This record gives sequence, structure tokens and C-alpha cells, in this order.
Amino acid sequence: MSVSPEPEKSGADASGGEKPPESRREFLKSAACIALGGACVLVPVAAGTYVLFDPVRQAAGDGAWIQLTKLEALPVGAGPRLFQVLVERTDAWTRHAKSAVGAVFLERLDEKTVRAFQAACPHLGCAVEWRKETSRFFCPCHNSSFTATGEILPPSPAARGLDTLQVEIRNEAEVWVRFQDFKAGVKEKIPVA
Amino acid sequence: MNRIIDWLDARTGCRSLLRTALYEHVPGGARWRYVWGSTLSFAIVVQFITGIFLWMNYSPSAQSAWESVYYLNDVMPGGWLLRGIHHYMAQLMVPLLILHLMQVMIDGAYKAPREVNYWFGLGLLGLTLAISLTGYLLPWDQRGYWSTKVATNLLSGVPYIGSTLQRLVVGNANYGHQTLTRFFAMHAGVLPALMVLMIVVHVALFRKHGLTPKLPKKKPDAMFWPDQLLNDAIACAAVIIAVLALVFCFKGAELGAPANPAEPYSAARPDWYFMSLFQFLKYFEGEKLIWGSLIIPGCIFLLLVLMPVLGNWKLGHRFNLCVLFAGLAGFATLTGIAFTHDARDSHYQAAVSQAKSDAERVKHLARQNNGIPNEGAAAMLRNDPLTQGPRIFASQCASCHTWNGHDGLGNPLSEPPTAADLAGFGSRDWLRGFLDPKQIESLKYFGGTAFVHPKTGTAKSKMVRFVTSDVADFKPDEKAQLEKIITALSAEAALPAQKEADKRDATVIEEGKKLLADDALTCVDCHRFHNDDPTSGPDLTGYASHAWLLDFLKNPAHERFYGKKNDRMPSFGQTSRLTPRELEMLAAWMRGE
Repeated sequence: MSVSPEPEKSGADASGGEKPPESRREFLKSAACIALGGACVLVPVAAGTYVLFDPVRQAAGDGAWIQLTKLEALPVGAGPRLFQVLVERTDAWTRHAKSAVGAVFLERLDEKTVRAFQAACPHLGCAVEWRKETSRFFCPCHNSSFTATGEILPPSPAARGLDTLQVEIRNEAEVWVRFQDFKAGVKEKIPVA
Repeated sequence: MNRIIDWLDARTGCRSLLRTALYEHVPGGARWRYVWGSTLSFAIVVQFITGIFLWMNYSPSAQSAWESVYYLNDVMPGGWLLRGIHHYMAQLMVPLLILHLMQVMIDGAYKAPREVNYWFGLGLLGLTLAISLTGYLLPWDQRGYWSTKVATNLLSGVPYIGSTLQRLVVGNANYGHQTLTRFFAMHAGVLPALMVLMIVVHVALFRKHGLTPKLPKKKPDAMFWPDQLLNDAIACAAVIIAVLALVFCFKGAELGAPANPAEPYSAARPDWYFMSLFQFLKYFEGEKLIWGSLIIPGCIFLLLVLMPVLGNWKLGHRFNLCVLFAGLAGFATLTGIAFTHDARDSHYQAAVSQAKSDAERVKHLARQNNGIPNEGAAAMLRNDPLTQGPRIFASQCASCHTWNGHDGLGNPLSEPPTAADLAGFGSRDWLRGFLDPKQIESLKYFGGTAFVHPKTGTAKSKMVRFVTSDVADFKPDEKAQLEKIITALSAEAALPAQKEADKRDATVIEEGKKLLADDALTCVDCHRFHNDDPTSGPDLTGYASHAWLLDFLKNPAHERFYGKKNDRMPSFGQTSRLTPRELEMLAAWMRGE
């Protein structure tokens, strides 16, 4: 510490002469004060910080398979259609039978192929819309544009094209999608939940 | 480093600020008796830090408050520790406040010119209690809910403005979302802000007048830093160690079952430091309540406020000390009486253990269901057979029956039972006892019923006569047959607790069934067993199974059961005394499903 008491207040034992054992005692007392005081305050700070960082310790999920619709709802050539994703989910303490977690664009390409895009913009996560008149996906937040096949159209601030999601046609009629969120603002497609 | 500090000092004067903060003159040197103010400041710092972290996990609404606290306390790693520190530090603050007040009083630090500072101290005492009271409700568990309800009802006793004040605090006529939002804003916002302001003035006034030394001075004068501060730091370390010891000893702070206005809570008690007031209120009947809740406590507080003035008289200081110690003795005595009374009250003890098992149960359900449904945790308990079963039994069945000797909730019956003890009904042990000539006429089985004590001029029931005479004379081979029949009959119940045993004894069960069906011991002379013969005793097909029990509870006077011989047992399904769901829950609980 570079702070010293005012001379007139240094009081009783300020006899002027340097006393190494005395100053060593002072130093030890000060050090003990700081160490002990710091340790005391550290207890609540540590307990709180540990709890605060709980979300960071959670592992990223690998995406759940959800049936979004049936093939008959997706005529070939009708273009992309937006579907809400409702899943059974526990949000912290609440168990939801159906909880909205996002949206997906589905487009029927041929008899047996369906393409799925995450509706969240890979730029910063706003909801992308399908503009029929231009046959493009457009993000109304920062004006990123994507082709119908999800490729990025310059000039767009997004770092990558729309995120595709895995699709499975089950029992020859049900459209199942593996729903995942991806990290925004980076070139790579990194799952986050 | 020094250059940075120089730069900062030139712009902020931080060195002189720190110097002013640390180099307080301590006349007579550092002493342990001066540590209490610092330990209280430390306690408040801990409450602020833990409180802000708790805030990040708390949801103040009637449908999510308990749930969010449960999630923090029981699911999030370390949450129990964080909440435990906050809870037990609040508990320790009261003795610390008392010690601080005692030191101030004994050393005469409340007298001129320090009166205003003393009054700020009293204000801080009141604020601390108000923060404790508002915090007690926030977990929205049964204990907090019912105790705080008492406190807000006391508020309504304030003359003229009581009802308005109560509505203002509660946020409505009844407790709900707005009670929590208001209490939370008071607990985490308004009151702590006031507290900070008052502490600033309290400390500034303390510095203005300096420390009141305990005379005679035994040592030369010293400085706050580091001499007194080292004592203070050691005391603070002792406080935090005590808090941690309490947290680990009690495995965190208690979280009871979720608040349920429809579920009376007989274990409602305030926190320990309000137990004296709680006890005090018992002595004021009817309209005199205001004396116990407001007038007398108000007068005591007024006396504390007037102490600096009283202290100016010749014997004033001694008078003040006498009042203080008498007050503390009263506080301790009333607290002691309240706790002793509770310790001796078997109904209170039963309510406490019921409350504990409810809390455990609701947490178990939340874990089992991987979360709590939208309707909230209280709804989970309302629909849970294990929770509601004993309550329904106590209210509807325990006027005649017992459950392991009590009313299902652990309370003794006020009168001897007049019907069988139903704990383990349908199990092998229960049936063995029932078919035992020495037991069937005991109060555990038919001892209190008309089957053993028929109307004058009529004989005991056939079953009682059969057991007491026929079974009593059974030869060893018949006894062996009876044991097989008991095993088979008990298997009809398909009790979850006997699942393994039934599986293991499948052969014996088959033999027993055959013996029953072949009328080996004359059972089917009176009872049906997988046939439609006309009979006089209860049907043994599926005896004590869920469906059997449910039908029996609905109408025991049905010809399939006791028919006209039914002894006082109400037909619950016919009279709508119990809803179909309640009957389901009762049957499920009785069978241990």
C-alpha cells in the first residue's frame, strides 16, 4: 500500500526512529487483514459465480427429431413454407408439453425429397422471410438475402448461407426434421443447442 | 503500478479517500467489543452479493416463485449453498444486531452527542427486520405463505388505515402474483436502498463523533487500519464460518411444500426471531390483539428511541441498561416458551413431519416428471395420491378406522377405533392377522364393529365365529392350507409392495387359488371366488385390488360386498361425499401405488 497515515494522527507509537520489527508487524497485520477480508468476501462471490456459470457448463444438445407435417401438405413446386417447431421441453423448472422453440422452412423438391432451412438468419438470428415475388429469402433486420437453395446473395452481411436441417421421410408420408440452432455470425455451421 | 495510482489519485483523490476511510483513530487501542458494527456491515455485503445472484434465478409470481427456488435449490449445482448462505446469514444478523446494540448501550455510545446516530441505528434494526419479513415470503412455500399472512393481517389492525395498508402491501384482497411482485420489490429494491442510505449516514455520523471508548483505556491509542480491522476481519471470518457450518449442517435452507391457500398448514411459524412476538400474541384475546401486535411493541420501541434522552438523568444510563436487559430477557423467555410449547405439542410435531414429507414428495414428483407442469407445483401435490390419500383418510375414514394406529396423518384418534386398521389392507400380514383367532376380535380388525358386538339377541358374524372356533381348531395340515389360501388371496390384490413376493411364490399362489375354488376350508360357502354363486360375504375375486377397493368404497352395501350386513360404512360413491378423483387417490394410496 502506498497510503500512509497522516503524520499527526500516527499517534502513540510514532517515535520517529525506524523499527524494522514494528513495521514488519504492521505489514503482517495489513497482509492478514487483506487476506482474511478477501477470503470472507470470496465465499459469497464464489458461491454466486458458480451458480451463475451453470449455463456455461451445460453441454450443447444434438438436436431432436420432430415431425413437422405430412408430405401431402407440401405440393411439389409450391415453394418454401414456414412451420412452427413445437416440442416437449423442460424450460428450467417448467415442463411444457408443447413449447415453441423456432421455425423451419420446408420445401418439397420432388416426390421423395424435402429441403429444410432453419428460419433463423445465420447473421444474427433474426427471422428470415420467404419473398415469393423475388423467389428469395430475405432477412428484414440487416438485409441479408439468400437464394431459394439457401446460398448467400451479395451484398449481404451474413457470413454463411441459410442453415439446412436434416430431413427424413418416415412411413412414406411423415416429414421429420432434426431441429437445431447454430452459432450466428460465423462462417462455419456450429450447433449450439 | 504507482504511476497508475498517481494518475488516478490526481484525478479522483483516491489516496486521501482511502486514508480517510482507513485511518480512524481508535482510543484505547483495538478491542474485540468494537467488532459488531463491522460484522454487521460484512453481513449486509454478503446479503447483497448473494441476494443479487439469487435474483438472477428468482421468478416472482405465484405460479413460478416456488418453482424457481426449487430449481435453484435442488437442481442447479451450488444453488443450495448460495441460498443457504443468504438464509443463514439473515438468521445470524439478528444476534449480531443485538450484540451491536448491547455494546452501544453498555459503552454509552447512544448518549449526546451521538443520539441521531443511535436513532439511525434503531432505524437500521427495523429495516433489517422488515427485509427479513419480506424475504420470508419469497420462496412461496407453505411456511412463508401462512406466516406472512399472519403478519399482514396484523397490519390490518393499524387504526383507521389498517385495511388500506394491508391491501397496499398484499397488492389485492388476497395473496397472489402482486403480493410477490410487491414483496420482492420491497425486499430487493426499496428496503436495501433505504438501508444503504441509512448506513452511509450511520457511518458518517460515527466518523464525525469518533468511537466511544470503553473506559478505562487499557492500551495506547491505535488506528482502525490495520489494528482494529484485523480484529474485525477475524470476527467476520468467524461469522462466515458459522454461516457455512449452519449451511452444511442443515444441508442448505429449508424449502417447504409450495404455498396452497386451500391446504391449511398447522406448522406455520415465523422465523425464530419473531417467535417471541408470536408467543406474545397468544396472551391477547379478541379485540385486545392490537395491544400485543402494535401498542406494547410500539411502546418498547419508543422507549428505545427515548433512551438517549433518558440517559441524561442521573440514573438514566442504569435505567436504560435495566430496560435493555429486561427486554432481552423477555425476548429470550418468550422465544423459549414458544419453542418448548411446540416441542411438546404432538399435533404440531405431526404437522411438521407432514410438511416435511409434503416437501420431499413434491420435489420427488418434480424430479420424476422431469419438471413441473404449467399449473405449478401445488397442482402436482393436489393430484398426488400419496399426498392426498392420507388427508382424505384422516377426514373421511379416521372417525372409525385407523392407519397404523393413527389417523393417516400421524395424529392419534380422540376415541378408540370402531373399525379395522387399514394399513397394509390386503397384504399377507394383514390377512394373517385377520384370520388369527387371537386377533380378529381385537380393535385392529373387527373388535370395534357390529360383527363382534352385534345387537342384543343376535349372534356374532359368521366370519368371526368361523375364525374364533373353526380356525382355532385347525389341524397342522389345515393350517398349511390356510397359509396357502392367504398367499393366494393376497395375490388377488396385486399390491405393488408384494410384487416380488407374488412372483416368487407363483406355485403356492396357484395351489392356494385351487384350494379356495375347491372350497377346501369352506371359504366359498359364503364368499364368491371367480364365480357368480349367490353368497353372503364379500366377493373375494380380485380382493383388495384397485378395482375391488374402488367399488367397495363406492358402495360397501352392494350385494357383492356386505349387502344388508354393512356396518355403518358410508357409500362414498353414492353420496358424492368424495369425488371420483378423490376415491381414486384414496384407493391408490391405501394400496401403496
